[in-house]
Amino acid sequence: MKYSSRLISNVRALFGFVRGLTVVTLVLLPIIAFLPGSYLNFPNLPLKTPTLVVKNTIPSEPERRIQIEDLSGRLKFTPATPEDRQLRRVIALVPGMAGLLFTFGVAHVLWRVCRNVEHGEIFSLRNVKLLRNLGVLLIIYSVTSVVIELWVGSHVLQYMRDHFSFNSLELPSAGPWWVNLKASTPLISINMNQLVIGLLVLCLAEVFRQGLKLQQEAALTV
Amino acid sequence: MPIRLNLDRMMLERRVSLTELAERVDITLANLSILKTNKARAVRFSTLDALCRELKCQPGDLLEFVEGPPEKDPEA
Repeated sequence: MKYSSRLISNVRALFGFVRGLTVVTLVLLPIIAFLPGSYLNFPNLPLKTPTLVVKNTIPSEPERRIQIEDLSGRLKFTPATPEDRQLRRVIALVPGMAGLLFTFGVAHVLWRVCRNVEHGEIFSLRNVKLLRNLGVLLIIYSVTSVVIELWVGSHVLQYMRDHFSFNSLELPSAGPWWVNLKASTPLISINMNQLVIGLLVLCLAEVFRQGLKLQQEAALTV
Repeated sequence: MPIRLNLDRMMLERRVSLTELAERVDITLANLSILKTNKARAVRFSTLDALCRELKCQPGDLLEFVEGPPEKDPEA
């Protein structure tokens, strides 16, 4: 039995639009990343100042050495060498593609759920599986996005250590990218909202499963 | 399912067709077919009452417990 609802139709159309837009962006992103002339742009770069010897305004007090840590800033410069351009592509493509694939997955699953509801399939095995997949996708991406950020961040930091020298700033100490987890914790954290929503969607899938059982019982009660 | 509904046997004894019985007890043919093929998960007392009246039998004549493993929930 078809379930007609303008709200569901509109929501399905919206998810369909998001899905289509994501596909278009997925196709365009590599093209944009290879365009010449764009800035290299990387947010949340962890930094600290070098150790500074500072004098006090009160003459009787001794000098102190201070250092400001846990700074973060947006790195921005115009690529000048092929290596710079390669770095720009990595920064643009890796997190961008991962985010777009995730968005496509979410939009596609929700589009399918809406389509099933429009066809009268509300509490069905298909919808239960779709919602479970959605919950798992949200949880996986909340962790994966952190790993990707760390990897790209380490890549950028290593590049900066190899190619630039700074007088007034210090870069975090070198090490494998997973070690930077501890150093980067104030700046990069697991997206708790997404993780919680993923868990809630998994609970919703269980609710739908119970609904399916009740529906079957009711349908087969004569 | 461990509980069996011997509707087909009783219909044979009373010489009643499925269509005729469906009309008499006011149940759709589809639902009566579900009962007859033991696909039903539950039976209402009102339905059992109507069947017993038309087939002139006791609920025990229609319902039978058969030893066997309990039915599993459909895994989603």
